Amino acid sequence: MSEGRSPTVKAGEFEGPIHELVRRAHAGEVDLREVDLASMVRGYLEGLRQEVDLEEATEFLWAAAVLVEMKSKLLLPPKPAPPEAPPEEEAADLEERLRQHLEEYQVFREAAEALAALEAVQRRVFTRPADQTSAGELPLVGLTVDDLFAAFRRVLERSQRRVEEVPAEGVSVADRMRAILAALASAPEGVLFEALFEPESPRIVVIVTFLALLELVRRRRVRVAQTEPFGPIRLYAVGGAA
Amino acid sequence: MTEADRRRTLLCALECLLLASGGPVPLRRLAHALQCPEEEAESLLEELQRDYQTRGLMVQHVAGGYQLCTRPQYADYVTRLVAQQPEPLSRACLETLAVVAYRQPVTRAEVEAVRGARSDHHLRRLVERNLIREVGRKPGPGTPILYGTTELFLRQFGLRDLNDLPPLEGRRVQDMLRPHGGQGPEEQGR
Repeated sequence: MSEGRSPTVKAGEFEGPIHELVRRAHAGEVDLREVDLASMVRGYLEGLRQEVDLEEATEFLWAAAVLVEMKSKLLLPPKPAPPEAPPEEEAADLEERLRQHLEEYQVFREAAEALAALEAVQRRVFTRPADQTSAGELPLVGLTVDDLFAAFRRVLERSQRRVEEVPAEGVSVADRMRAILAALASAPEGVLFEALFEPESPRIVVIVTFLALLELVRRRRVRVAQTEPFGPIRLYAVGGAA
Repeated sequence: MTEADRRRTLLCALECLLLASGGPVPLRRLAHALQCPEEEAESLLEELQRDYQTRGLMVQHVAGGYQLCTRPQYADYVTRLVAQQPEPLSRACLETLAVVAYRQPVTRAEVEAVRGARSDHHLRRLVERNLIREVGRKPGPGTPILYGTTELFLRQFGLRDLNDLPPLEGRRVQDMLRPHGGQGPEEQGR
């Protein structure tokens, strides 16, 4: 039950969720110059002794930082305007930006609450589980990660004989992931596992390609299936072509 | 076969299609399987919907398709039998998700600029739960990853499509939706 909540704080006459304090300060309903932020933080930290809810502590830290920033702006004397107008404008601009940012953030907070309400309804709606892949398990059908690894070993042994230097052209997991997805996108009937690895590929490419495949499986972008023991292993794009 | 018989057959077949597929099926594919025009499939869906009114199941229009599912008011019974749904998302994850949903495609830095907080952990959690995914790279320095929402996101939140997202409250909604690069012109006489 880690439903992140706005931490409750006490600051002068105010007592309630810290985000409410931010909102009021922002709306000018609370004069931050009158609020002792240090004791508010101290009070919160004392309440924190027993147990720390990281999610909540983060919320607190963020909101407290906003309050400190707003207060420090209020306390600082307005900058003297040495040459001409620009500095003052900049300060006003900064204030305006902070205000806009808070406003924007507030909009998304509300949107998040609306989404939470939708989620709450939809959590009470059940469909027939379509297949194993949507059940939170890895999209491996008819084989285990060990089988996949064994197949990888065979491919790797094939390229074992060749001594290679690392190709000048760097090869990255992200690149190989894109390449695999591109290959699968154009093959609705699936792609053979071995076909991912060109026979003459340097080992580094084989290894990186395999890592890319594992990553795609973890992200559920690729489904791996073996219809019979020791049979061919095929890869399919997940969700692509409906 | 009379017209009424034919209609009855299609209605039953439609019910079978929805049960067999589990998740949402696009209208186009239903019509194809039923061998009937999409308009007819749509009217069959409405009829099925009406038939179900007194039953525990319902037809839901979600994630670009139609699905057969249980009515929310019977959830307590269902959860006693089948496994619970995953944990609800934390507030911070929901916020991150909201920014991605309304601003997509969006980079981590853009999400963090809105939230004013680091969000990499939350983005990762959302990717793992298959609610968002990488949809590309933003051209420019570092070619950062762009995130967008998934079909599962629509399903899990009961949305037909992205236009079905709850409207953002408050002023300047269009401004919020428009991705802005850095400090744009902020002269807004008020």
